[in-house]
Amino acid sequence: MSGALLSAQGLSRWYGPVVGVNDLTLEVDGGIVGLLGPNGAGKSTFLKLVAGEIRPSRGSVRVLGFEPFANREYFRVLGFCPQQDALYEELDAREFVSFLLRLSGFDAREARSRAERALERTGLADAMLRRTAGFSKGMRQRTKLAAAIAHEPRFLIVDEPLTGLDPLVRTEMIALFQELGREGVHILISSHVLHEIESVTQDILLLHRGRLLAQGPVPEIRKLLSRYPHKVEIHARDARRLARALLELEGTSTVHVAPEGGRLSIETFDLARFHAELPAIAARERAGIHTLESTDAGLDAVFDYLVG
Amino acid sequence: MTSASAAPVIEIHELSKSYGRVRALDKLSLRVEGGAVGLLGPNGAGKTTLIKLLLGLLVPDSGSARIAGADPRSAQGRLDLRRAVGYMPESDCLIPGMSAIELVATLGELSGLSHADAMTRAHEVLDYVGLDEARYRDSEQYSTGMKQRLKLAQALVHDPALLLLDEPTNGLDPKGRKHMLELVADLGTAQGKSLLVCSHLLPDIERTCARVVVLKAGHAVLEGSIAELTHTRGRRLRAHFAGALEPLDALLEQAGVAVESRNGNARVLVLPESEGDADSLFALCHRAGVRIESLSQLRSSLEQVFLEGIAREEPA
Amino acid sequence: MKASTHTEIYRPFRGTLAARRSRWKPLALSTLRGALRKKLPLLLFAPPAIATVIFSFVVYAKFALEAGTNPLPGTEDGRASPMAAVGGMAGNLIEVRTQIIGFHAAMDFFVLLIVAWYGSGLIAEDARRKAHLLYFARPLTRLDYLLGKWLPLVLMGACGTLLPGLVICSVAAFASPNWSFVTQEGDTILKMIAYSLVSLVVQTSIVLAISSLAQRKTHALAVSLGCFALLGGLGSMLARLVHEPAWNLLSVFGCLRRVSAGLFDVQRILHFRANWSLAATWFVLAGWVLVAWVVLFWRTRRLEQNG
Repeated sequence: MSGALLSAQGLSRWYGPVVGVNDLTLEVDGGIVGLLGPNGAGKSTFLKLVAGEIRPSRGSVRVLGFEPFANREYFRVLGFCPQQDALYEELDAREFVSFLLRLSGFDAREARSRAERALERTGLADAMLRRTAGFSKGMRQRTKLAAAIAHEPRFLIVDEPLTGLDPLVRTEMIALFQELGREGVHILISSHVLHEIESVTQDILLLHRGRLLAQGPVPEIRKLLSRYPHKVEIHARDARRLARALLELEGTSTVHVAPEGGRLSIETFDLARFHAELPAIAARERAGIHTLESTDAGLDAVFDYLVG
Repeated sequence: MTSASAAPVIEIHELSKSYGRVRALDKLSLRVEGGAVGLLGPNGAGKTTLIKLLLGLLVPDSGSARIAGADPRSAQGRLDLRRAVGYMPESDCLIPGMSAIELVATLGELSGLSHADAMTRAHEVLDYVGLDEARYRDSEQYSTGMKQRLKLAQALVHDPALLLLDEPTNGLDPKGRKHMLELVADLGTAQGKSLLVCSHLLPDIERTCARVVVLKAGHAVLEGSIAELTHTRGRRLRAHFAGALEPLDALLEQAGVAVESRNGNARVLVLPESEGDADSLFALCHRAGVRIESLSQLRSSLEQVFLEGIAREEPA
Repeated sequence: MKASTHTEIYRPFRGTLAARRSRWKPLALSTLRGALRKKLPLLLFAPPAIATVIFSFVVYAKFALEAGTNPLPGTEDGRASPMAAVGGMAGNLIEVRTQIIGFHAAMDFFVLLIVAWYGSGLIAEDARRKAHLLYFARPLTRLDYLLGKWLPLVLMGACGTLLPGLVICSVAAFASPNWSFVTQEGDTILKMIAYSLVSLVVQTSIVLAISSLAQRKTHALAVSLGCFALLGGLGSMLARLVHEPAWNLLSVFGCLRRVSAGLFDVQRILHFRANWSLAATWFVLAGWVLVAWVVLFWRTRRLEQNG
């Protein structure tokens, strides 16, 4: 498909005998995509391949129609915000960002105004004339991000952008990613922290041991994991009465009433049916339902089931 | 130690500490009676200074404090309190060239355990955090997850009453984070330790702590139990539906259920006071042929509470 | 048998924590264990060990020759040889005192190597790995911490100075007829101990202070060795150029030799004339040690409070 943001065919990269990513075949349409995986899953290798920093050992990857590796044309439309600290400590933030812009071919005046705009967007308007040596972790992260977006890339790669940020800065960064996403910038974000990803996007790529374990919107992935029954928790006044009725329901595999009463957990293989039938059962039994929650529909549970 | 467990583990009254002209702590008052307490605040709010004061590494400028029964204003008090406090630092730290077991045992001896006690305790706490065979290997080669567990083990070796955990889940992958949070939660509840947990990840705090303290510019702007802080008034429910919602919306209006906000298939509903539960809502859905996928009491997230607390200029 | 389960995963500690104890002891032991973990650097102790054997033999031979026996029994042929007469004279020429002075002067460099190798990382690596965060969360004073690092280092250094000195003196004591070495030259033993301690305190303090300033072990090692070599070279060069021996005060080793010459009351150490003011030398050495410990306490305070 030519419309895809990113497509990989048998993409592999080894470091000597050590595997980085192994035989990845995938296609991503675009938008904001979360890249997840346990330590050593190959996230960084994948990002470097996509960013054109390293060459595949085997297979190919195309992003926006480009071959990424050492492709100057591609680098014009790519913004890459690496995880490591990569600032020139003796420069101030504006000098740093405009220096990088100069390197990619902008003239001095253009570079300066773009740098200022980018730093304003990342919330560093007041600090852009300070030397980066004295910057806090959050300010460094925002300077790197400004450098990555200053040339208005169509595709932005951010590696662990939220690690170690305080909640205030984190909220601002997430808002910025969402804003960029609305402007039509494709973003690939890697993170260790699942709820961070969940607050930005539903679309994920999940890597494990160098392989692609799952891709797509989280609820869709959860549906594919049909061998795990769906878990639902209900708080109700008369939990036992409700439990009896629910046990009758086709697809229900387990009903567990909490010893203290008032709460029951249900496992069902047919969640759609459960949801369809519940209103009728509730209306009939009058068991006093207070809340109803799927406890394994989120990214946490999906990750657990897949990675184990 | 029985007398200490009856009194609050941390009792701080109008404590101040300045570095030159910078006021890191400004008349901070704080009581921690037990269990896990989340210590929140943006960078520069004074969390680090508070931790150092609680460890007896700094001398307060003014105010009074008792930490695990010791007074940090005297030199002896500052040393004494460290026997009752365990500290898990944020940054990677280890003693060069030592295996986990040696490291934990040595630090145990420094806390006052005899050599034999230190060895026994070291093995026990390493079992507890789940460092198995790796405990005999040089700790410099550990993965992030193992280093975090080692840091927790060394904080526990002398069985302190108070634990200071600074970003315990920093850099962990989801599996490692889950394990660490389970340990932290277990320490606060089943093991009866007092914990002060610093984290930038508010959901981690929600999972492990019963109470929070939010610092800003050196004093506490918000303090209380998470359940109370996130509680919102009124019987408001957040519901996710599936199916065609037009008939339901009409029925809701008839039944006097106010729709406070709508976002796709999600609605925030305010039930009439007469309704003790949501059974009639289910009945309405049954009539409208709509499915309810989730239904929960509307609470503000800790994140909202935190951001609002920080935004407020001065504590009321 | 009564059934019971022990499934609790965390058991509280039932014993007591010692309230006041010298916490430097466990720290010092762990420092020593850490130092001895790597085997290859132990080769640094080979030169002093070999030299100890040689100097001990010379001392033994002195007394053996004085007594007219052959110091190498394997070659004895039962008759009093002309060697015995010569030997008696030779024996009188050899003095235990000069042997000890010579031993220390010859081993200077190796002792510095030992102290620098083992001392350079002690504080620098702690700071780099942030071990101080773990240490100072314990009831450990700054003095405890410094003693826990310094005393093991002194001990390691002593293996290159004090210990060989004691061995040579013991050999002399046992080999001398009727303990004559102890009765007549007993002060040599005390002077040897005094000199060893002075030299150790000076060298270990400077090396440890440099370690506390450096960011990693290799830097500290380079600076330590460079500092001693540079000061030594500069001192002796200036002394020679302007014919003013007092310039040797710049050199730590120069100072130590002057102290040695003063203590043992000799004019030369090997070929080195030590003829400048002894008081100034003591003053300079005390200055070094004082500066080193001021630096150590300052840096340790920073480690404790700044994290």
